[in-house]
Amino acid sequence: MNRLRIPGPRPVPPMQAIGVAAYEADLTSGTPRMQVCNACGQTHFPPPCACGCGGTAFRAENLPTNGTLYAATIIHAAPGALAALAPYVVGLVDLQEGPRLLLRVLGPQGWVPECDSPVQLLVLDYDDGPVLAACPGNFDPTGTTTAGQGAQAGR
Amino acid sequence: MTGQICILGAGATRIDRWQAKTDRTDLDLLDEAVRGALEVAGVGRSAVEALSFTTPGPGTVQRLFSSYATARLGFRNAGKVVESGTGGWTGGLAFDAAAAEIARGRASVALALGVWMETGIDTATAMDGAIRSTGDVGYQTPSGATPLSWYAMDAQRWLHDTGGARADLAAIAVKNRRHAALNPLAQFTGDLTIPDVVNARPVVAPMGLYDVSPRGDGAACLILCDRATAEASGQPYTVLTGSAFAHDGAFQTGGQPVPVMPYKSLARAAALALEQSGQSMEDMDLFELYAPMTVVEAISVETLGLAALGQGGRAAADGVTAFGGAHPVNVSGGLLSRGHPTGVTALYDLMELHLQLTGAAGGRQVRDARHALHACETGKYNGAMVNILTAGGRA
Repeated sequence: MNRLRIPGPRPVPPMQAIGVAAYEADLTSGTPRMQVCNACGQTHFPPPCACGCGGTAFRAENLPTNGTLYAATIIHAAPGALAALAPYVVGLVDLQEGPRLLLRVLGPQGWVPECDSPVQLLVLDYDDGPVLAACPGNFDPTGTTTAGQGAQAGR
Repeated sequence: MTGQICILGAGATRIDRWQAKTDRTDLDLLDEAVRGALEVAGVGRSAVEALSFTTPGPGTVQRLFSSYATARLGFRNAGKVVESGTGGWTGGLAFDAAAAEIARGRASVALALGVWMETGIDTATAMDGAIRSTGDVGYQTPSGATPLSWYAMDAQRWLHDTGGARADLAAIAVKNRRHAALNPLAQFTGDLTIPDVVNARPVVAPMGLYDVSPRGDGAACLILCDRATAEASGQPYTVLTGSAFAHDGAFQTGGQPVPVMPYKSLARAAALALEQSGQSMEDMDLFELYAPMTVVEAISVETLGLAALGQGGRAAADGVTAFGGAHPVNVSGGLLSRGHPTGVTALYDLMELHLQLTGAAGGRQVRDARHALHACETGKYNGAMVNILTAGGRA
């Protein structure tokens, strides 16, 4: 699992939601997980209370770490809490044999997100906890020295 | 109860950044809308037996706004007074709640009304709250996906999958601006060209400033009544001949790797509403579609079958969905130029169709308009409401 250390607190920390504490622990240990319906095999993220098939029993499996970018946008008009990051990218990431996740996507300066391009999961380690993100498949975030501020799509 | 619920009149303020630019208050705006509606319908306050409000916007300080406004606006004979609100279809929910009072026989005349104030709050602060509406607060909101970002992802995928042209999406903004120039309630009426749209500063790339709806404040009021009251009034009226909801079971994204277009909830709600009305899409003379971004109108037009997949922008460029075309869409100017005071947007859209179907739309009157389709949505078209309106008697 790729990791990128970013000084300071998360711009928007996770708020109350089922399973968030376990999810953060999984991110910290490097093995974020999804839920798989025992009845029909459907994968879920975030964790559900019930599957569309009616199943209510799930097993946890590791999230696949590779996937493709279904679609993305470069956000220039940002919420106040994320204004310092703008422009930043969010995208829908289709994990291999897994669910579709909404994530921030970080890439090298000048990178432009393209539909169906390969991406991989990336954990952003802030002072107060982790945030799951994604980056291009060939991008090595450990090489960045810009604390994440530069490691995102530019104009 | 299909065919027994009528609209007898409507009133609204022009949409503007009232809270940011003036001293006007939420109650003041609503008063203007209510007076206008009562006057045009020839209805007195004592006849109003239910008031169905939209939940006020973030710029309203007063709580229990519905009771407060009922008192201040002089209504003394009401039964149910309620506020409804969830995302973009808030105005539709208030309309539905008013219609339900008539359908159940508890009111002969009911108001669907509301005011939305938000421009006193700066955009960045407003979005700090809005990202909790368009993402799971535990798992998605930390990524900072704003409301518009979800539609912008649709735009990227639409461009990628359909081969549709960027300039065709821009043509939707240009078309709707031309429409708005004919609407005295519109927020933006100035000239707009395709290069203006394509070259505008990016907001949520690939979508720019003129691809997205502006923020605005406004108030609107519809007067609903039963068929007998409408017929006895001697006023022109419209009849609600079909009304349906559909929710696709997703919250922004369903979490499964499936196509995001067409919009399934819109297709399902439209089919249900048309079935109730006994009409087909071909019978519809015009459309008011909830589209806070150019690409959303394109996908909605394609979903309803008014254009082939990928041709929803081309339909605007070619005039098919323009005033005077075969399928006029958003003749009011739509969310992009008429304006988008979120909680009351659906009331403005329904008002536009009422004006069109009663021959009162002035310079933007669609000739011989008899039947019209209204759509509004919540989430990212996770849920859609479709109403079918038909011209009733004329004075």
